[in-house]
This record gives sequence, C-alpha cells and structure tokens, in this order.
Amino acid sequence: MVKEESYHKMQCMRTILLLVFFISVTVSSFAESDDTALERQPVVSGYIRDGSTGETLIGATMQVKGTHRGVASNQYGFYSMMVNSGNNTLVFNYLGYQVIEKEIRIEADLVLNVELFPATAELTEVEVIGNSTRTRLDDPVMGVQKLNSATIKEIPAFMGEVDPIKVIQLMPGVQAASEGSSGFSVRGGNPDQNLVLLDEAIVYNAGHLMGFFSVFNNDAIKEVNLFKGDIPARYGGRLSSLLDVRMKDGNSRRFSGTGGVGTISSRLMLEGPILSEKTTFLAAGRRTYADLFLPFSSDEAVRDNQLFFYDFNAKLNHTFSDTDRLFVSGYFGRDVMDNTVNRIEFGNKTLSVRWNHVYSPRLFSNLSFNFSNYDYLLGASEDDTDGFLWTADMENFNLKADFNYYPVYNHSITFGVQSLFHNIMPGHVRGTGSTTMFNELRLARNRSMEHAVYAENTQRIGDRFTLRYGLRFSLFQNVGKGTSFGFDEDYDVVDTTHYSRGDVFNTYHGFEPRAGFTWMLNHNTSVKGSYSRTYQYLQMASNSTGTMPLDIWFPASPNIKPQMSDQFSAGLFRHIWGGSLDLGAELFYKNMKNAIDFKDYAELLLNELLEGELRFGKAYAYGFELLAQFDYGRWNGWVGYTYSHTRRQINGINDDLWYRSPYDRPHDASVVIMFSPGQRTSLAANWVYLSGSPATFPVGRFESGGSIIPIYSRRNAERLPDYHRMDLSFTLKNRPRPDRRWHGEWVFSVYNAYARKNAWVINFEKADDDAYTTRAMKTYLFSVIPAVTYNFKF
Amino acid sequence: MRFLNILTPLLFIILLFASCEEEIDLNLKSDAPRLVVDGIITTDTMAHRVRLTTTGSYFENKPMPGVSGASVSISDGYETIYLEESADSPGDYFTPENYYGRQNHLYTLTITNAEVDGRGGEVVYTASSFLPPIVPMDSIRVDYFGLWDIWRVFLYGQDPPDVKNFYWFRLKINDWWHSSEYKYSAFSDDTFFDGNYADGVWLFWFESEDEYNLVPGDELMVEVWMVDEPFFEFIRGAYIETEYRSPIFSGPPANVPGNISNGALGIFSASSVVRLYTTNTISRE
Repeated sequence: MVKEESYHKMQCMRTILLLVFFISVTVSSFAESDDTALERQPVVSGYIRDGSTGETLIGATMQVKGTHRGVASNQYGFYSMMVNSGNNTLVFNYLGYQVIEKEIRIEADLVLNVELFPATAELTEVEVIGNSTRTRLDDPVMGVQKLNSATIKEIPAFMGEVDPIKVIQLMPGVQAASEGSSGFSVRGGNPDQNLVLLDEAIVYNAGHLMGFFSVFNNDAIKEVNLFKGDIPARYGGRLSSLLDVRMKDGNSRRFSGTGGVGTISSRLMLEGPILSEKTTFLAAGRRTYADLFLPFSSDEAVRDNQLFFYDFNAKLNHTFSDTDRLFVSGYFGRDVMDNTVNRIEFGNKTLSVRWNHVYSPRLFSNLSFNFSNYDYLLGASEDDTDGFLWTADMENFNLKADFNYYPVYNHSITFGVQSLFHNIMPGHVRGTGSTTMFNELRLARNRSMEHAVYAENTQRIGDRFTLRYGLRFSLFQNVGKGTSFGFDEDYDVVDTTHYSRGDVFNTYHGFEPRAGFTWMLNHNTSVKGSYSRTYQYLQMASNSTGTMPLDIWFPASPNIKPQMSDQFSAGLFRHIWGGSLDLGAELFYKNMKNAIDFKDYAELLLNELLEGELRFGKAYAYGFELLAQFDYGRWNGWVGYTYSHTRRQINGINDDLWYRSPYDRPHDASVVIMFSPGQRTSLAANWVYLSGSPATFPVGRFESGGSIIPIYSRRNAERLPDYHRMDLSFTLKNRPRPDRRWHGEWVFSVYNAYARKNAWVINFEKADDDAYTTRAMKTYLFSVIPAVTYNFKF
Repeated sequence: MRFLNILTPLLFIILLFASCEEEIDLNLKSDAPRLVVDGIITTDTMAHRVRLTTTGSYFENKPMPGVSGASVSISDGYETIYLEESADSPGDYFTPENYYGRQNHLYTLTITNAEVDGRGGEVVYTASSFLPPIVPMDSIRVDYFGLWDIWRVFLYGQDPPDVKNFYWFRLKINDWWHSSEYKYSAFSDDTFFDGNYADGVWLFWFESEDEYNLVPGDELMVEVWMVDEPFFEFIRGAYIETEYRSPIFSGPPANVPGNISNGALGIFSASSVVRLYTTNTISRE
C-alpha cells in the first residue's frame, strides 16, 4: 500500500519537476539575455516591509510621482517596475502606514527595499487601524475583500474567539452556511466551492467544534483575501471563490509575542529572529478548555465527556540573500470529543515549503510544495460486539511554480504550472469487540491528479485603462488503482471496472479564460468589468448546511463530469471625501453547469456506490452588492448590502423543476462600526440581517403505524423567519508605560446583544401529550452570549 | 442504526451551547386530500387490518376519517381474499380471523371504489410486498447503564449469510408499547454484518426517569420483523421525518417513499415476525 502511494507521488513529482525545470531554464535564460541588453530603461525592484516588525507587506503600492505609473507588491512583498532613467520621485504607500517618498536618480537597475511605519502616532494619539478592506480603484480585479489581522481583531467575536472566517461572513456576497458555521456561501455558491488556502496549502475543513470556530488563529495571520469569483488565473479548482489566508512571517526585529486568556480558550503566539534578521520564526498555539469545567458538573454523564480542540501554527523563514528566501510553514489542529461510549477526533494538517527566487529585477518566482491532510476517527462502544472504529482521510500533494514578470512598466505578467495529487480514503470501518458482529469494510482509495498551466497579463493602456487577460488550462485525471462503476437509469450498478496501479482511466480538461478591465473615469472613480470561467473537479459529499466532521470529498470520475461556472460582473467604484469613504457597487451573474445535488435520503457515508446517490443539473446565481467603507480616524467600518438569488435544476430532484439553493437568501445586510473614543478605549458593533434560509415545510400529513408523517411540497419552497443579530464589544487597554513592553487589554464582548431567537431549524413534530396534535418547533442556538478576554502583547 | 446513534454525542455538544426550542406559529399551505393506505399482514394468525384514510392539512390535529365503502382484496398469487370493513370503525378493513401470511410469497393488495373528496372512485390502487422468511433470533437481554441513567436492550442471534436482510424491531414493556411509533422503533439492514453472529447488539434504550423505570419482574418483549426493501425504506423515511432534524446532520426533508400506485400514500407490507421475551431481574440502585 505504502509503496503504491509513493509510486504515484513519485510519478506525479517527476512530471512536475521536469516541467518546472524546463520552465525555469527557459525563463532564466531569457531573463539573463534580456538583462544584458543595454537598450532598456532601468528597473527598480525590491521588497516593501513593515519597519517595526520586518513583515513583508502584500499589496503595498509604489508609484512614480506625477505619473500614473505604479505597481503593487505581490504576495511576498516584492515589487518591480521599469522607470525612466533620471530623477524619479517614488511614492510608497500602504493603508494605515505613513507614506514614504524617495527622490532618487536612477541610471541603472536598482534594488530598493523599503520600510513603511504604521501611522500610529503622536499625531492623533489613536492607533489607526486603517481600513484594510479598502478597494483599489485601478486594479482590474473585482469582488476582492481584503482583511488584515488588526481589523479582524476589532470586530466583536463569538465567545471572544477572534475568527477571520466570521468576519469574512460580514462582507457583501458572503453568508454563513448556517448560524455559527465556518462554512460560507459566496455569491450563492456551495461552501465546498470555496478554495481555502493557508499559506497556499488547501484546508479541507475549516471548522473546529462543529464549525462554531474556524481553524484560523488570528494571532498567526497576516492577512486574508477573499476573491468572490474573479479568481486570478494562478488559482483554480473551485467554482465560487478563493479564500487566501497568509500567515505572518515572524518579527525579524525583535522577539515578541501576543496571547490571550479567553472565556473558552487560551492562546500564545511567539515570533522573532533567530541569531540574525535573516532567520525568523513564528509559533502559535491555542487550546479550548470548555471541558475543564465539565468535571464540576453535578451530572455524572456530563462529567464523563471530553471536549476540546487545539491547534498549532508554525513558520520558519530564512533570507539567503536579496534574491532568495525560503519559507516553511505548517498547521496542525485536532478536535477531540469523547465519552465512555463514543469518541470522535478530527483535524487538519498542512505543510508549505516555498522558495522565492528573484531571477532578475523583472522576474520573480515562487516554487511551492504543499501538503494537506484531513482525517477523522469515530469509535463506538469499542469493547462490545457492536463496537466499531471508523476512520477516513484525505490528503493532497501540490507542487507549483509561479512567476511574476514585469517586462515593461505597463505590463505585469504572471505565469506558472501546478500539479496536485489527491488521495482520498472515503472510509474504513471494522468491528473492535472481541466477538464483533461487523465485517470489515474498506472503501477503495480514490486517486486523482489535477494539473494546470496558466498565464495572465495586466496591461495598462494609457492613463485611464487597465486590462487583465489570462488563460488557465486545467487537466484532471483519475488514476488507478481504482474501481469505476457503471449505473443504469435506476442508478443500479450494471458493470464494475477495476484499474490497476498507475492507469489513467479517465481524463477531463478545460480552458478557463479570466479577464477584467478597469477604466478610471477620473482620479477617484472607476468602472470595472470581469469575466471568469472556473472548473471544479473535487467536491464534498454533504447534503447538510452545517459543518460536519464526517464530510468527505469525492473527485470527478467517468460518472461525474466536472462542475463549471461562468461568472460575469461589472461595477462602479468611487472614493469620496478625501478618500475617507469608499463606495462600491457590483453586479454579478453566474451560470453553473454540471451542478451536483444528492437524491432524497442519500447515503453519503461508508457507501461504495456514492456516485449512485448523486444527481446532476444546472444552477445560476445573480445579484448586486453595495459596499460603503468609511475611515474617519476615530470612526471606521463598513455598511454592506446584497440582493441576490440562486436556483438549481437537478434531474431527479424536486420533479426536475427549478428550486432555490439552500443559500438563496435575497437580502443580506451588514453594518460594522468601530469607534475609538480615546487612547485606551475602543468600541465595536456589528449588525447583520439576512432573509431566512430556504426551507421545505409540510403541506399535509398522514397517519401510519402510530406516526403522523408530514407530506412536503416543493423543495425549499418556504423560508425560515428572517435572521438578524447584533454583536458588541468594548476594549480597554491598560495604561501604556514607556518603561514596559508589556501591553495588556481587556475585551468585553456580547454576541446576539438583543437576544434574538433566530431559527436554526424548524422541526415538525407530534406533541407529547396528544396522539393527533402536531406543532412546529423552532430551535435557536444562542441567546445573549457574553465573553471576556484578556489579550497581551510584548 | 448504531451509525445514527453515534451522532448523539455530537448533538450533545450542540445542546451544550445552550440551544433552546420553542413553539412557533406558522401558516402552512395545504394540498388536496389523497388516499392513504396503512396495511400490514404478518405470519401471525389473526384478523389483519388495512386502514384507508385521507391526507389532511399538517395542523389538522384530529384523527383522519376512514375511507368507507371501498373494495379491498389481498392475493398471495394462489388465492384472493376480500377484506371486510369494520362496522365500528369506518375505513378499517379486516381479513378473516384465521388468516396468516406465508413466507416467500408475493402479496398484492388491490383497492377499488375508494372515494376521497367524492373523487377517485374509478381508480384502481395496487401494491405488492414480498413476505421474507422468518429469521429466528436467540434472545434478548436487558441491563441498566448507570452513567447515563438509561436501560438498554440487547439482541443475540445469527444473521443468515449471503442474503440481504432487512430487520425491523419493536419493543414492548409489560403492556406498554415503547415502539408506539416508527421513531421509537429500531431498524437495520445487514450491510455491515452479513452472515455474522450478533452477540449482544444494542437495540433500544430508554431513560429510567422520563420513560420507564424497570423493576424486577417486568416483562420485555422484542418483535423481530423481517421486511422487504420498500417497507424498510418506508420505515427509514418515516423515522427520519418524525425524528429531530438539525442542519448539521440532516439532509433536506423529503416525502416518505411508499409502495401504493396511482398517487396514494402509505404502505402495504407483508412481513414475518418472531418474538423474544425476557424478564428483568435487576433494579436501579
């Protein structure tokens, strides 16, 4: 088994290594020859960093003063641009940081590393958070929401646990899949249509504890970018969105840390240089301790339970030179719930190894190796005859090479290759008792590969127009050893084909064009448009809207065509009042083919014939999003509103008629306000309003065998009551003392401040006391939930 | 069924988050009434009942009236018998007292002249069910699980190899039916244990405080039903639709699949039944 696995991995690696080698050689040779040419203008390039911590800044801008020429730093903080030789004034800017202007005479290529300092300051005596969500008017990418960890931290958190995913859910076009869930729906898409990356490694299940908390520990995070459909050609594999989470690199200036003691968990993050500035580390961990209180319960059955999660982030960087940097980062998290009878454990692991190399001032490259794994374990009455142990896991190995090439000042090209190997073990269950009644059941491993090549150019045409056009070619292969089933019209198996090791028994491919434009109407208004096609070859077997640990994914196959989406969007963006108010309006329309849903009472777990439970069809979504973000020094935040619809038509479900997707919630409003009245205090509030989620209610009943059984109408024909909620938080910082590096603060927060009893689900049931009386019962999860957290940093 | 029980601790965790339930007022739409069939014959010798009723609105909150005056017959492929409507309870049609179902026979129910809302009298409703052979189980055992304060009932017996078996279990304690509804019954097919010996499988549990507290001398009886696949699917559907539903574990609601033709709802089933008994000897301290 092990041998076989490694054989596939090696085969996959070999192909991709060859490709990477080939591209690197070509690239470096033309880069060198190109750079020996004396004809061209000089290039200024380098890294833009935070001067206080040494962290690279993503999306910081460099502009030549007096011109429209400018460039933004990439995900590794690198920028490069061709300038006219002679005197230039370069302006470096990053929101929430002081602007730096450098007047330089540039005759030849110049490496210019720049440090920006946060605009805290003596000026206002208030820490400026900076509205990190702000949009860039001239960037031809739409529907991007950017959040840095400082903004995320300001927003009231559920049970005091600061959570990037919960903040993302406050953005227009994004909704929680169900209350308290880490799953989210972007522009009507399913939660499994979001590509969630942590330092470029895929995260399969972003939830802890049934999704009430996400796996992302904000202390370890630099920033989070959500691409709501206009996904750069560099990424693929999911239909709806890309959630790109980047970990901090680690403070290169001094050893420091942050941490906190909260209502349900404690956490600690340490970072700093090792020996010199060239090597930095970051390590962050947290653990919940809800279960530490269980022993005090008067109920023995409650005392018997264990219930906790922990996670750990680590990162190590080394800068070899101005041209070479190495990053190694990883995540490990685990949830444990167990009692005398049952136990459940699950968790994610990721590993990323990345090497940045600057071939020439105009050519930047990143080579990544990523590994991700998700697994779960379920045990029940393990000593008994009906005791069992059930495990499942999935993992992928990802190798990719990405290049940024800046040939002339108005072109910025990205290109690269990627190859992924997926290996899924959908389930293995065996009896554990000494006289077990169960036969061992081991579902066949599912192996597949996903390859892609892409190129994308961002081109400025004149002073007002910027065009982005790119193409991604993706190739998907089912690889043996494996089994493929043929189904008849009634979804009964009619033939079974076995494939041996290394056989590529099924292939899909697709061209994925991505394009966008920005037209600056004037210096503070722009119009944007974009189109993107995406394919998805891997999806989750889940017909519930909550985050469940038992969710396992399945690939495209001879029976399952890849899902495809075409998204069109257009928008108008305007900065007013000196840039303190950003307004944005976006329209989108999304058409999806080969959409997947599950038949009634589908058996998704431990089912060898899972593919027979699937039904296929089409789907669409459309809507508009309005967003106003404000930043007036002491006040900042945003107001968002989305109107949208999303429907499906799946053959074999709902009599083949169109029905609402579970994520069709037409009205979605959110208000986030942060206010700092003084140097030591800040207040934050958010309010969300969502149309009730679609639901199927009974239109009748009948009696059978003592039960009263509901009769349902069309799927999702009704809605739960509308959802709304307000959260509040108040932060009190300790008095700063110049002689002390230790900064402490108390955060008091309230979730669901006015105790709205939002329906999580409505059950229709028979009343206990009467055989013929039925009633509708609403379950609501949370009433007012207060929390206190003490945070510190040093 | 144990694969469903495993989710209990997960649900417990949600409840830990202080979730609450309350009644909510909803205005539901209503469909036109349809015929409902609830007919079960077994290997027992007795007057078996086929009940004909109609569907009602969900909040009807009273027993549905029987459908009278229909012609109801059952055939086992050799002979056809006509059922007689009860004089006391309209809509209940009975076989003769000496009737019993035979193993490995295919039974067909035919209903004519069943008018619902003055319509449908001309429609012929039919349904078929295969009566599976009896599987004799060995015994049951009861114990008290102090940690959770529950009583548990276990089953011992051999599953026949190489055939697909569908089990349905019902529990009776003294004169009280614990399995008074589908949601209080237990069911399983033998996918995961085909041909194996069940050496004490946990079938039922009930809370000693809220449901039934056993004392020594209490009689427990478990009925082991062998059912065909359509009835099994019906039991499973009825269980899911009357059990608690949550967005985390449950798929979308769906109509319980029946086996009656021409748009009538409900089930006609032919099943074999054996009964296992035990007398409780322990008491909760």
